[in-house]
Amino acid sequence: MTAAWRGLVAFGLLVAAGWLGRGLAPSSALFQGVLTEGVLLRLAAAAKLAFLAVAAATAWRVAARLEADNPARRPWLVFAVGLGGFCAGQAVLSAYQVATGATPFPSVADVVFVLAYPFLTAGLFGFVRAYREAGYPVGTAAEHRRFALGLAAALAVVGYLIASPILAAPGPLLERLLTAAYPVLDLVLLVPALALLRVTARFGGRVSEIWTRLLAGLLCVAVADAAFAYFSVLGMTGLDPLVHAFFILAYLLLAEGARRQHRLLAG
Amino acid sequence: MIDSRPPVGKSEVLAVVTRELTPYVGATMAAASVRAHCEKLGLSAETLSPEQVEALLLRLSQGLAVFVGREKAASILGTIRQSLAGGTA
Repeated sequence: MTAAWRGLVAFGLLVAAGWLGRGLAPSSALFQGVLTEGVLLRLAAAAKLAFLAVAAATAWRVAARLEADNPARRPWLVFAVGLGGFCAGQAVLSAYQVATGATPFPSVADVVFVLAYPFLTAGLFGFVRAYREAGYPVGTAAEHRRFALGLAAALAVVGYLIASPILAAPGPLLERLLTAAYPVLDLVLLVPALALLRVTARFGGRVSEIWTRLLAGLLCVAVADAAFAYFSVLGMTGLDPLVHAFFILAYLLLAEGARRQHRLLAG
Repeated sequence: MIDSRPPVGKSEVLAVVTRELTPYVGATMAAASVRAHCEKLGLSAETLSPEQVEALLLRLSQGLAVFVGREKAASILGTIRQSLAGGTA
């Protein structure tokens, strides 16, 4: 771990801890006078953007380092584009947050975030196929298809339960659609993510270290999106700090997973 | 050209490959991969000829390359070949 990366991780964890502290004791002098919401929002904007930039750039470097006909190259490329989309969305959002100290919703950033999901989903399906076709005893294509279809059916029910109260709530239609879209897109993303977890859970060593972090990162994104959607609908803005902390942790894990894969290739 | 290397015990191959691949894919997956490839290649005897070992290593190398790239996979397989030739398992 380089000194710069260690510093960035420490910064991100401190900002996440700051948000959690604010969630627990919002009226304390520290959070009223020094680490105000505006200050923490700007710090979190910088941390999230930095982690996503590292994740996207490193995933791209992984793809570039793999041979042209390596079955894992294309999934890494597609996954990197998805992470790049998240990074671009966060860059727009961070610019707003740093300039105004507030989070606009919906905004142009949401268009970019939403467009990134198909790439992340396709990338994860690509990893399942690549690892299976590489000859590892991780199940057949038919078994993976059955698992994905069963999971998709179960998650469709969860998606309905999450999205229907959001869509039925009062407020502008676009805002409600986007608020519901994030958890639904996360549930779609969870299908290949859990299929991949089923595959990579059979591995140990450094492969396990990489995928534990990447998949935990995606799970944190899903939890943060679902929490944001629910807290918004229920008007529980006091729980926003938890959402910010989860997003920081999610992007940190994605960056660390990509870094470990790159180190495995380059080391 | 006839390969003059002696046959190798399958258990020795399993031990060497598992030892070398464990840091990358874990001990369980390393051993499971060897068994799965042996089954696919029809290697059921207790000893493997040099050609059979090479066929097995080629399959393992293709699997490893999706995580470490071809160059590093070749280097790891080189270590396995050396261990098998030197009987250091």
